[in-house]
Amino acid sequence: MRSNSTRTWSLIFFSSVAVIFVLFSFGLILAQTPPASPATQTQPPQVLTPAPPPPTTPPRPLVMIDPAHGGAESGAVLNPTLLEKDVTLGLARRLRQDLTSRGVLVELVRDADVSLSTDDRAAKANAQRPILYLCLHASSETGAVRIFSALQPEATDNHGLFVSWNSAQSASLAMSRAAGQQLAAVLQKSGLAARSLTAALRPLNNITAPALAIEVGPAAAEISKLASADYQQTISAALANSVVALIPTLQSDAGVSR
Amino acid sequence: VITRQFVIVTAILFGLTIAMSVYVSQLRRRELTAPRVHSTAKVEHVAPPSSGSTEQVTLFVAYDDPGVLRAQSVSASLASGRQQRAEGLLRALIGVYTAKNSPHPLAVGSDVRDVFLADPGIAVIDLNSALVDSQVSGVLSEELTITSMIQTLATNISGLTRVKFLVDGKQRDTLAGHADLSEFYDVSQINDQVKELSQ
Repeated sequence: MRSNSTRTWSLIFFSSVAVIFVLFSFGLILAQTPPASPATQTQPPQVLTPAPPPPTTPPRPLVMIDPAHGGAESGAVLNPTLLEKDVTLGLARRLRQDLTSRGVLVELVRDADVSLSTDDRAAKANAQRPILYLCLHASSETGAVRIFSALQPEATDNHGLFVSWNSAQSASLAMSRAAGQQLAAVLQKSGLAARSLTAALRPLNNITAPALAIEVGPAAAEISKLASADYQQTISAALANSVVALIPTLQSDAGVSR
Repeated sequence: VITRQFVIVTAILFGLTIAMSVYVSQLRRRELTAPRVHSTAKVEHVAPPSSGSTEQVTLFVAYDDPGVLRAQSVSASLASGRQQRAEGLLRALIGVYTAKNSPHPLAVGSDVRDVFLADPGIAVIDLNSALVDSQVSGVLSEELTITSMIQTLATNISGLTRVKFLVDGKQRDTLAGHADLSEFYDVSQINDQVKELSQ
């Protein structure tokens, strides 16, 4: 009797181990399966969150705006009374207003003077699945707008269920670079000097959507302009027009039907 | 039965043990009370040997206005060792930045503490805090500093593939709030970046 009971428990134990092993192996195989076609490589990874339910109405494109720095991390000290974190927040609020008035859904990564790590910023942006992520910076170098995409290789081993945090941008990198060039071209047409470049700048590498960092700044002698409402409004309106012009390209790339 | 000789040998060994303990404790006390030469003395970099041959090298110099990199050929006296040569190249570049009317100003005292070269193709550049503290905070300005250093090394030291930066021997997140220093830089990507920054 006792021997039968022991045998039964042994059988249950080994069966459980076998089931766990089979499930684990299946998970591993699934995780290492490469994407089915090259077309899927250019889309944002579908693995971090479940796919959203089919929309009943055409979705409004969401643009995430991230005013860089904040809280104890002030960014560049542009002059004794002007900190980069304040300029980026002011500009982000104006840009939100300008984009919203043009029918674009906008969310700010921070809407107050708070500290956020670059990982927190990326996690917050990725969770919203935006069509475009814009990180705003300000500096005192040369009177131009500089648009940066991530400095990382386009091809990585991001296959299977999960993507590497440090190269999460790789799937969207080609689109980010194209968007940066288009944005610079539109800004130039509106009379602003603009350049499209690459930079090793967090959290661009960690964003799963097309992601750009925009650095604005007049020449050093005119740095106080950054705090003026007129200058910010000029930059914000030009950026809003450029982003609106960019949205159809982003939507077609993301496969969103309007 | 314990023999007399055994007792004598044991006593001698015991005496030697005591004597060595006293000697070691004296040495330790002397070490603790002696002034620490390495931590207090100002480190002076050894000048390149005057007998060393001068050669033409290409530096990639950053120009804040208009935000570009330009290749510049200079004459420099570099040591023959690969590592010393790498340090000499970066010191020549930093010398341009700390000079009067610099196109990309850094404070006097900015320096590279060490360059470690390891196979296969890895360079670790250890900057001092004076350089980092005087770096203008901004995405483009910081990228110009990083790119000019990597490209100067990669152009003059063959086989470099990846470069990592430390500050005062320690890992640091950013150069001055923007350029990422937490990861290795890939030299092939820097080549592409140099093309962008040269236009």
